[in-house]
Amino acid sequence: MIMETDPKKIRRKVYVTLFEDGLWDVVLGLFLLAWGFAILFDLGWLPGVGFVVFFYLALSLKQKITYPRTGYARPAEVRKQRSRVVIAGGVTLLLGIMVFLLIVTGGMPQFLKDYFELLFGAMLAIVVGLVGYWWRIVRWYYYAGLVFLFAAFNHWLGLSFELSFVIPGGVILLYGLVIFVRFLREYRRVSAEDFNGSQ
Amino acid sequence: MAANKDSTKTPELVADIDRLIHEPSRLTIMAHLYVVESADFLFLIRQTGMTWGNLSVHISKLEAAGYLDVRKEFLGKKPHTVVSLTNSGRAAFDGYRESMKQVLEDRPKTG
Repeated sequence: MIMETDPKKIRRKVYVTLFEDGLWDVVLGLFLLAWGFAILFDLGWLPGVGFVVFFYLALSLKQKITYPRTGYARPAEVRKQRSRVVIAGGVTLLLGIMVFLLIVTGGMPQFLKDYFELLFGAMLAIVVGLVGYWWRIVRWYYYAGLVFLFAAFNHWLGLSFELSFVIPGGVILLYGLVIFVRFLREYRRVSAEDFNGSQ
Repeated sequence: MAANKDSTKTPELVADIDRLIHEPSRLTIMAHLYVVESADFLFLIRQTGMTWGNLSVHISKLEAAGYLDVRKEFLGKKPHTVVSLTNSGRAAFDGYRESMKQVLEDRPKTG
């Protein structure tokens, strides 16, 4: 029997299990890839539609694959966390609209024009880092760093803008899939009979 | 020798400890439910390492004491049983933690 009784340690364990399957990492990777392809093929609708599709796909997979293996717990701060995600998404959307309007109206300050890709990458990195901070998932700090790093590479080395999303997105997607496969190997679907007499 | 104030207080503090929660298995169940809104049996088994039967017995005792609420919810379209602390359960766990803290802090330092 595992005798953990420290609420702080248990809370951390609960958050780790929520991200243990790697599905949210896969969603983030696909979202970044969608941004890259949207820029490459001029498909402005792709990131928004893609995010909604990937998000609900992940929720569906969690119900079909994750919860039958790990069980389900609703964190006590779930309402606060959801509002934080909404805030992060809202800030990102607002900034995106502002930038878009500035571009369309031609009113963008020279500074923003010169550093647009770097600032956009920094904005995305901040959102990714905030999600990692709120959910206490350390590897998302590295994802944020990766996103910013490629935005910086793009700015100073003159790479194409879409690559600063496609490469980090691809890396994060692959790592998320690795975590998912590892999760499937570690946890198998169980029933009540599997836990009778296992102590 | 003058009466040790600490040693006369400790038996009273120990007597105040909630013995229903103090049992190791029930303590770990309460501790896990303290940090979540609700959890199902499988989650509690995975986290505590208990057997299904053992978990059921202890949850029944805590439910009978009014510390836990056990109900059926739907996860997607599938019904499953979830467990959560009641308000009195949460208050009882807070009281237990405070009691234990007082008992442990009340002991005179040695060495």
